[in-house]
Amino acid sequence: MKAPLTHVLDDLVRKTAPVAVTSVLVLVALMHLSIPGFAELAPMLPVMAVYYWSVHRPELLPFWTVFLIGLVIDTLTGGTLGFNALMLLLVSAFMRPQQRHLAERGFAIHWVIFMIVVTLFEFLRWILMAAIAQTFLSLGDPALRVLLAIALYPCLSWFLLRIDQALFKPA
Amino acid sequence: MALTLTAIGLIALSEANSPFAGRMRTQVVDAFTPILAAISRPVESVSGWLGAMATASSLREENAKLRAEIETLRATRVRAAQIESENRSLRSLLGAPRMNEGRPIAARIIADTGRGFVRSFLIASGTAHGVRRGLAVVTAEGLIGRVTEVGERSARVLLLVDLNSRISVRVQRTRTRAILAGDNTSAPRLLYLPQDTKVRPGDRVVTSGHDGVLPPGIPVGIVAASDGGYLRVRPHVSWSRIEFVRVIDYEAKGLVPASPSAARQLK
Repeated sequence: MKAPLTHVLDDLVRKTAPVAVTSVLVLVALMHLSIPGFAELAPMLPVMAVYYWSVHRPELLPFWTVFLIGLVIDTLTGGTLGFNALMLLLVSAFMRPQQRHLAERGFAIHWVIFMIVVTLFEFLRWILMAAIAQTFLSLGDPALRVLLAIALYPCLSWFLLRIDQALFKPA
Repeated sequence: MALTLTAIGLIALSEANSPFAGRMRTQVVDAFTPILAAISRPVESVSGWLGAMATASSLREENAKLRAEIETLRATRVRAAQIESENRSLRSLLGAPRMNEGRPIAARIIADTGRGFVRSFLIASGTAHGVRRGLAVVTAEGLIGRVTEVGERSARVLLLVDLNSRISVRVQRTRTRAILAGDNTSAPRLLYLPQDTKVRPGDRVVTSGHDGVLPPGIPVGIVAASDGGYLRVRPHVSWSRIEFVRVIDYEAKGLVPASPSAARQLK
């Protein structure tokens, strides 16, 4: 027997939610807003989303979608093609095996791991970008981005958790 | 693993300035332009309200400051009109041609891609509106950058603070020429100044037009204090407040890089 259309749509929304939410955050990060601190935080929004979904719903954020999201960021920002794709793939690949270990842990542990991952991510990005540009880049901006991302991760995580719970609550 | 290798391959392709990478970028940006344009309007309205709320407390003070500025500008306008008229008669006496003021193309900023390690804007005007690579992009305050990639309905503006931006400039007071080099900070550096330079903080900097890319005389910024042996220039433009820009078509001919990564080759 065929499933009713509403069930099919419901299933589709659930399955595409992590990719859709991450994509929306990519677009939000490109908005030209005069909110203090937004310009610094914006490049970190997709990283924060990929981190969250890679820990909580990795099966719904497959590697190829992470790659495509990174590639879209690269093309829209005018940066080196493949650069963000590679960086987001690394975050996702690093976090997936941690899912089992983090499943039963509280938010504080998640946050500490996020601090480590986001610091490594931005540091690696800084090194790679300096190597590509063949020049020394200031560490001030990346440091500020990391601090803002760490400070605001609980808010974004809370927001993503609400979406997660709304879509995947047990019947 | 295959995706990681593909990403590394794309990085190599992009850094080799492959035409494929440039075409892919402009096509994807063109495809996203309607979405970005649709989202940016309501988002900017909300941002504007938030900004207005934040500045509400200082409105009275700002109003008084603006009134004082209007008075100064009125006097400047009268003086500018006199100088313009004098300039016109002197030019006509010498038979010198008038400076080409160019054709302005108004464009709306739809995405601020000037974060992270690249400083650029996307505007909702492209070849369909007459935008071409290399054209100067200005606001009422002065130069913000130049067009480096053009699609049919969109274009990328490389900001003068970007790491890859190199602009030929002139210090107005001393007539000294230099290169304004972006380094991803808010105040780009002045390079290749003569050793005995008399340039000092507070001097005005304009485009020199010698690069054959940008027209001469566009205001760029003010020389700021020396930092690490380099003089820096604080641009006139306040980046967060820009919504619309003018792309100026002067029909200047010159070397124009295809993309930020291609611009790097000019260094």
